[in-house]
Formats: sequence, C-alpha cells, structure tokens
Amino acid sequence: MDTNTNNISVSTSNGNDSHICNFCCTRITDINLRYGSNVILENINFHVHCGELLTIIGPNGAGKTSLLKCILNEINSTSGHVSFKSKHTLKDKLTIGYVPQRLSINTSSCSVFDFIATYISKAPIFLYKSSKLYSRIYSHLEEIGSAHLINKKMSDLSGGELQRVLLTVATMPYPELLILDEFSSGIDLQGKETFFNLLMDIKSKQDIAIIMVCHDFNYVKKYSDRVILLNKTILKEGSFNEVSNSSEFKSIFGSLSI
Amino acid sequence: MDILISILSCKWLSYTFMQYALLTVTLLSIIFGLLGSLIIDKRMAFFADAYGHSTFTGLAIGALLGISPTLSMLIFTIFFALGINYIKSKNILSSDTIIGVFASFASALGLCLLSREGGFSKYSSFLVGDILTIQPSNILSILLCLIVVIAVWLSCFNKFLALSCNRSIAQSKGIKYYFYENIFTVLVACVVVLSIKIVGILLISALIILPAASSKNIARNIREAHLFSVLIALLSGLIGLILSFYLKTASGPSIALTSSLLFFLSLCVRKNNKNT
Repeated sequence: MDTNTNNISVSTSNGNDSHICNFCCTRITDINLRYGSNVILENINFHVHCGELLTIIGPNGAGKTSLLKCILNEINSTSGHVSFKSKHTLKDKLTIGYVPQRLSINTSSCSVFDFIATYISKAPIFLYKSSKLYSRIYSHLEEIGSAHLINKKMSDLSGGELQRVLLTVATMPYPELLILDEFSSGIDLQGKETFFNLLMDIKSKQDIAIIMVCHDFNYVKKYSDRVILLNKTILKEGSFNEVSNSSEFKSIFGSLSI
Repeated sequence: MDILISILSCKWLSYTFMQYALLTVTLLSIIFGLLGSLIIDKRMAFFADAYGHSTFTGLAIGALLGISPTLSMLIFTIFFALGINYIKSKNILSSDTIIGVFASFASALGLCLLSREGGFSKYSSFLVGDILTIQPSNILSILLCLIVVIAVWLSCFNKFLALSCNRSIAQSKGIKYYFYENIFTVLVACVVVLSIKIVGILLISALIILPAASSKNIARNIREAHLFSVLIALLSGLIGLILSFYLKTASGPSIALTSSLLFFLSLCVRKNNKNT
C-alpha cells in the first residue's frame, strides 16, 4: 500500500517528467482582472501539461478562486485568454472538470445517482431512472471507489464521500483539464490520503492536466509536480522546494517547518 | 353523517362552479407540485411571493390603460421578474434585500393606483382568490400553462437542478446560466399570474412551497420527491376545496390550511423514519 512509501520517494514525482506529455498544453495567457480600479489579477501567464499536477498557493484574497473562475469562463477576465493545444490542433474551448469546495445548496431530495445524472444526462431524471445511465454512473463510481454510495441521499454524505461524488461528476467524461478548489478542507486525514491517491491514479491513467488550490502544504509538497505562488500576480513558480525556499514565500507564510 | 354522505355522493359537484373549481384546482396542483421542489432548492420561495405582489401594479396598469388585466399582469410580472434577475446578477445586494425592495415598491405602487378614489374593494378578491369567478377560458389558459410547464420540465429540468446545485460545475459542463435562469423565472411568473385570481396573492407561495416541503420530508430521491409533491398537492387541493364548500370558507386559504396540516403530518412520518 501507499502508506509504505515515504515522503521522499513520492516527492520524486518531480522527476517523472517522462510521464508528462509535452504535446498537449493548456496555456493561460495574460489574464488580467479588474473591478473598477480594484486589481484582482494581473499579468497571469502559465501553462500546464497533461499528466501534470499544478498547485496554486497564496494568501487569502490572493485571487486564487477568481483565477479558477476565469479559467472556467464563469468570470470574464478584463483581458487575456485560455487556450488548449493538443497534438495537432489549437483550440480555445477545452473540456474542464470542476470540483468545488462544497455545495452551496441544500440537495435534500437528491440521491447520489440523481445528482450525477443531472450534470451528464438529458433524460429527465424527475420522471424515470434510465438503467443504462444507472450502470454507466455505477461503473464510474466504482472507479472512484464509491459505488456503494449510488443510492444514498446527498444530504447524508460525509465530507470525504461528497468530494468523491463531486470528483465523479467532474470526470464523467474525463476532461482535458481538471480543476479542484480547496477541496481538502473538511475531510479527515485518511480521507485526504485516499483522495490524493485517487487523483494520482486518474492523473497517470487518463493523462489529464490538473490545477488545484490547496492550503495543506504537506500534500502540496508530496503530490504537486509544480507550484505557483499567487498574490494578484504570479510571484514564484517552480517545484515546491524552490517556491517554499523563496523570499516571496517566506514573506507571506513565514518560515514554515514542513 | 349527512355531510359525509353528501361529500361521498359528490353533491358538491352538482354545481357548475364547483366543477370548474375542481378542474382548476387539479390542474394547478400538478403545476405547483412540479414547480415546488425546485423553487425550494433554489431558495426562491419569496421570489414567488414578490411576483405575486407585483401583480398589483400589473393590475393597476391594466385598469389605467383599459386592457385585459391578465395580459397587463402577465407582461408586467415577467418584466419585473427579469428585472430582479438582472439586479441579482450584478451582485450588489443580497437577494433577500432585492426582493424586499422590489416587492414593496411594486405592491405599494399597485395599491396606490388601485386605491385611488376608494376603488380598492373591487380588487380585494385578488388577495385571497375567488373560485366563483372561474370561467372556462381561465381553465383553458391554466391547462395551456400546465402543458408548457411539463414541456419545459421534460426538456430543462436536469439543467435547472444542475445549476441550482452548483453553478460552476454546471457551467463547466456547458450549461448556460442566464438562459436557464431566465426561462425558469418567466415560467414561475406566468404560473403565479395565471393562478393569482384563483388562489390569491397572499397564499400563492404557500401553495407552491407546502406540498414540495412535505414531500421532501419523506422522499428518498428526486422521482419520489416529484411524485409525492404532486400527490400531496392534489390531495390538499381536493380536501381544501370540499372543506371550503361545506364550511363556506374561501377556497385558497382552505387549501393552504390542508396543505400545512399535511406538512406537519409528513414531519411526524420523517421523525418516525429517523428513529427506526
């Protein structure tokens, strides 16, 4: 089991560059976001390859969520754009899977099946339960290790179970880019470990690019291929060690003992 | 005993106005049962109320311009509802404040216009509704409304629910937020306007919310939630209507009262389920 692998051997995932496909690339170019005279994001330029996990860290109010929403096209950035280059083509529209921090609304009458089906199917779920759809969702939940949850009510799920259901929605079908927003809050230690192992599995098997926001530096160090330190603009980019040893990191977070 | 026999032998149905009322209440119950659960999920209970209040202004404008009150209410309420959506999208105020401001404005304006020269009593039936005024043309328009609601539900329900559960996930799956939000809003506004004459401005949101809230207490998934919600709405409609006939009470409040009682009953069922 993975519990035997210690920090050091896993953090060599930085050296696994051979796994990263250098053809596909999601490129975020010159993103600027202002509300009036209030600068939220300035000159954001970065890229992420498929099979790569990029973590965005930064203090509160650094614009992390705003940046994710710009990539998701939920907020229109003042300037700049997001593009995706596959082996042969360059396109502006990429398929994105999004795992939010939490659900804002009371989904009291939804079962897990209902919840997933609303996002991936057109068949009116208030009327009937398509058995084809059910087995499709069941087998995908199985991949995420959560098939037993399919008939549970959404309101009865624990934090970790909810995150796995949200991950299932985001990966049906597997997107080109997966975005996770501060998902580790509200999950217990073991849940986090399981979730990251799942993520690593998806990353390597499906070869997709992952951008996540995470506050838990132990996990950032252990699993990220690359780290971006954001505070309205990109202050530092590189491996976690490079970033955490930089003066920019220390001036924001102090000297953490990790 | 006599009353029971009279109820069971459907004596109350020998009056034409009661036949119309039964037909209307049945159609409206299905509409309310379907709409209710999503209105609760979207936390729009007070929006429905606000739309109801805005019909005062629509009514007044219709009276001033001399056009059909239903038409003027429909047009005004749709604009009103879309206006609220627009302001909401600007994220300047919290939605309860927006509703408070808009609903007060619209009802105050409407009441001022309607009460000029002491003429408001003419319109008091709009407050609690009046089933005696139902005409076949009303039934036809409500039937049309039901067909539209079902059509929209069949084609858009998943998207409505997806957006109300989490907007960002829905948008990442390519579901257009404003488009579906506006469709839903216009639909609710139309339902409110068409049913206001029958159930009244004061109780419209109660009738939409109560059956769905009761069904949420006992349903285990979306299909059950819809089924129970429609059944509870139909049941309370029927019981409320019969009660109003024999007790000589206004029908809208009688239905709402039955609906509330069923809600408390469902709450007990839920408690029992949790205990076992």
